[in-house]
Amino acid sequence: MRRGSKLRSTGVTLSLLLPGLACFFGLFFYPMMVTVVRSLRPEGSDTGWTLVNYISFLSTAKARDVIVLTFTLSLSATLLSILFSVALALILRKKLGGHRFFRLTMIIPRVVPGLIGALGLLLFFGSRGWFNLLVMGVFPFVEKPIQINYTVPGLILFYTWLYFPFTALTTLSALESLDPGIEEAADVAGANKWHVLRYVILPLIMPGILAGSVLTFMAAFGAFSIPLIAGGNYRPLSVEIYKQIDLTPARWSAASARAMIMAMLQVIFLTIYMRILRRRSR
Amino acid sequence: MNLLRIYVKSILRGRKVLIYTFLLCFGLIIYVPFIVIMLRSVGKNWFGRLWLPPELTLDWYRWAVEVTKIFRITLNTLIIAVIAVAISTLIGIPTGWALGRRKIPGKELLMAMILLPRMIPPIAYALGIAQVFYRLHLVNTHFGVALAHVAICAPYAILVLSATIEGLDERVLEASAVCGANRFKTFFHVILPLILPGILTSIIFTFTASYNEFTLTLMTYGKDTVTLPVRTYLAIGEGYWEVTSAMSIILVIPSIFVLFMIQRQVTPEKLVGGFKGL
Amino acid sequence: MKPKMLLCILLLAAPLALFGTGVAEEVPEITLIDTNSGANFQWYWQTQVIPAIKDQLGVKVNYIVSKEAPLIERMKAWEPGKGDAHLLFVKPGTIPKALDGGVDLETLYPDKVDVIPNLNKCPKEYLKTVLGVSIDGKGALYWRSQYALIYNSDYIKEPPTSWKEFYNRRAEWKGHIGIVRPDAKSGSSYRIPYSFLNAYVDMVDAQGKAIPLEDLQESNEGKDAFAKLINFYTYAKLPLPAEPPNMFEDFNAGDTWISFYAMDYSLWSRHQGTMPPSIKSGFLEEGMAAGSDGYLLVPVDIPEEYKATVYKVVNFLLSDDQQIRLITTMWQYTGTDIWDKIPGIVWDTIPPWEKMEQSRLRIGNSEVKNFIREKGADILIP
Repeated sequence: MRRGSKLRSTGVTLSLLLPGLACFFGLFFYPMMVTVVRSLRPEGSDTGWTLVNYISFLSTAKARDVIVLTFTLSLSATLLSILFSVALALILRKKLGGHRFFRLTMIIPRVVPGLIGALGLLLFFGSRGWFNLLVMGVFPFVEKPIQINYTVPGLILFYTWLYFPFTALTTLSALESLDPGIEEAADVAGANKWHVLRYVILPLIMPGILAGSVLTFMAAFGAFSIPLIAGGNYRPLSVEIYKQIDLTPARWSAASARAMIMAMLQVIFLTIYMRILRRRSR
Repeated sequence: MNLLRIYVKSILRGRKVLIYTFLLCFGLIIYVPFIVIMLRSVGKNWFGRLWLPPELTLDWYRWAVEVTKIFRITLNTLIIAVIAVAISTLIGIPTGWALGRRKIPGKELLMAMILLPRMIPPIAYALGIAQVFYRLHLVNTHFGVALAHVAICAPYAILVLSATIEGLDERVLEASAVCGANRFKTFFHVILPLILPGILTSIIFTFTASYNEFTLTLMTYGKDTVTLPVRTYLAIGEGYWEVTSAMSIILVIPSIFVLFMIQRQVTPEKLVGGFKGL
Repeated sequence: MKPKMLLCILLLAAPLALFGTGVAEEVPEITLIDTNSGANFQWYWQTQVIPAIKDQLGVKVNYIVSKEAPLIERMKAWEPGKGDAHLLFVKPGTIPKALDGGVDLETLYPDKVDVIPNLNKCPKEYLKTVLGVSIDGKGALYWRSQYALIYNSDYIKEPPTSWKEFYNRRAEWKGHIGIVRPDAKSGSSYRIPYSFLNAYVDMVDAQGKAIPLEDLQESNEGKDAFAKLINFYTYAKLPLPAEPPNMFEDFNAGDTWISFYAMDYSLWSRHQGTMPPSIKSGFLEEGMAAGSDGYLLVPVDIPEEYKATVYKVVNFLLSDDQQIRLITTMWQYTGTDIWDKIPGIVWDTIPPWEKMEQSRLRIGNSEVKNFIREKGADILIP
């Protein structure tokens, strides 16, 4: 009897899980396998196995440049997001006048379609955009507009604009869940503000910052729409993949091989990152 | 106490200016791009280095409506988003229930598995989805594009809903059972109202995710299922940026609506969990 | 409050779902897929041509803008007689690509001249070959697009009149020459380098046959031409714009002064107020690449009952009235040779065809074109 009810209970659990599992296998696992298989097939053929799609990409100098670029962009954007988020979170924590407005402002880049953010930034930082008009107006020695669009620093700025909210939100919530007593104790003990920040607050909110920065990193690593329209001469992996299937005839195998390389790089990087994260928070 | 006073004073004096400058710059850099798009969408003959357009016009909006069929495309986008939200929610409730309330061996592993699509760059499985959908003739149907979006949206709905369901008070359910309510009654009259805020949060987030989704749409869209993000992308690459700006303004309106709802429903601090997937 | 919000969402969603199903139409309806038109012609099709077809033929045209790659992918998957894109409007290069991909197209000329009599007015050489490849009359020529020098007369008072002059005076305009990336989607990607090379080395032999790329690269003129081209790119506005809209943004900012682009687009943009009024177009005498000539295609695999309607529409599009509208509204050269019927006032804005035809360079060496598209990014981007 008990065994029967246990079996029934397992059955209920399974049937409850079924939609989620079906979604996982049907919409993620199976397509992923299709990509894997495709990447191992000769271009345009449904039979035979080959590694040529991987080798022909990885053996070029361009592959190294593309991978380095992808990491440069995503890591710099992550770092910049952390720096910016910590400052922002420390300020917003004080609940100054209008802090609710700025909290809302913080999530705007995530709610608005990324393409529009990118278009706005392109227009704003363009050679006749407001940014350059301002710079040229305020600093008379700047005679030529500063080229920001379609440069690596510009792209990093765009990435940061779009993806910092992940880090900022987790940092802010980590900061707000801190026990105010700790700080007061440090204050009373005579530590100066910088020391409190450096040796008390930062170590305590580090796990929160790192967790958020993982999200920023993942989003920046996989970023597609931004580099597609604002990348100019710089094409990270995602754009490189898309360009393969945008050709006629589409090169699905080449694209799949690049996609697998990208997925593997991300998983490897995340595993290392998570391990560091776990060690830190221990 | 003395120290605290000095601290507060220094903030009130010099630092306050610095802090507000920082916040002002932050606000500017977030909002100004949208203001610039807005101006571009109504400006005419705006050449050279001018701060403001010399003439105003609504031509670009007319163009967006007449030529790019913006209403048809908005409708496509909304239909797809509604289908994706519905499917994701229907997946999210039972799976969230199982993960939230039932004993499952290896639950953490299962959760990690369901969140795996968020760890892999979308373009990697988008390639596979496109190939599978081509074969199943799902490309260029609203349902097909929505289904592709579910790959992104469902993990979200599961995450949010399992957290909500986990937080349900056991005693309420027991009380309901004691009062003689059957399972369905319990579900509809007790559980559903309790998890409704969770469902709403999940709907808002899955809707935003689907409405803004670009990568998967680009891989599965066809002539009848062009969505706003895809059309904006095409217009940035091939069209007049004045018209693109007008389209962008139209595209951004629902986002503002969503933002308004988020702000009313949940405090920004609570958004962290929800935004994990966005 | 919260359930109310849910109700709100549901109420919003319900009518949308109803809308989505659509209602069947009585009027004969065909689908036209356009992979050629830029923003200006998308406007023209939607606001001028499609309503005219509805008024005069009673045919409803479902006009859809798409791209070449997905279009061919889709057509490959069609079952015979079930195709749902009844009429295609494409760039010349799409025809050989579709045929190579196994997509069958109706032979319009000469097989269908009895139902499309206006086809007889199209120049025959355009119906026989595109890009140096034979197409055997499988497309109808709707327009001829032409590239020309465009420049901002505020900055440039004396524009060059030949490619050689353009190259020799490049230092005057350093950093202000607009050149789109060689791997851009837009056809301007290869038209600038192709026309430039053509000024220094022959692309086709006396019989009009393409000279193999290898021979070109080995010859002294060829080496010289490529070296000059690479040098020319270092004088461009950097970074090279990814697509034409980026280049026009540079034009509007006053950063780019001179370029080589589709004449109709530049003139029309000026007229619309999306480019400065000081934009002018000019000639480069060694030859200016033809733009994307517009071809109308009818796939074989569409339902038979649609074909008669589709041919009627093609004939209508090639009719004198429609062709004259094309040149008078959009400044695009017509697909049919009806020059004596075109109002003389047109030639105040654009050069007469007799003059343009001599400078017109039909891309005859697709090997060079493909080389530029595939390898150009590595070689030419400074």
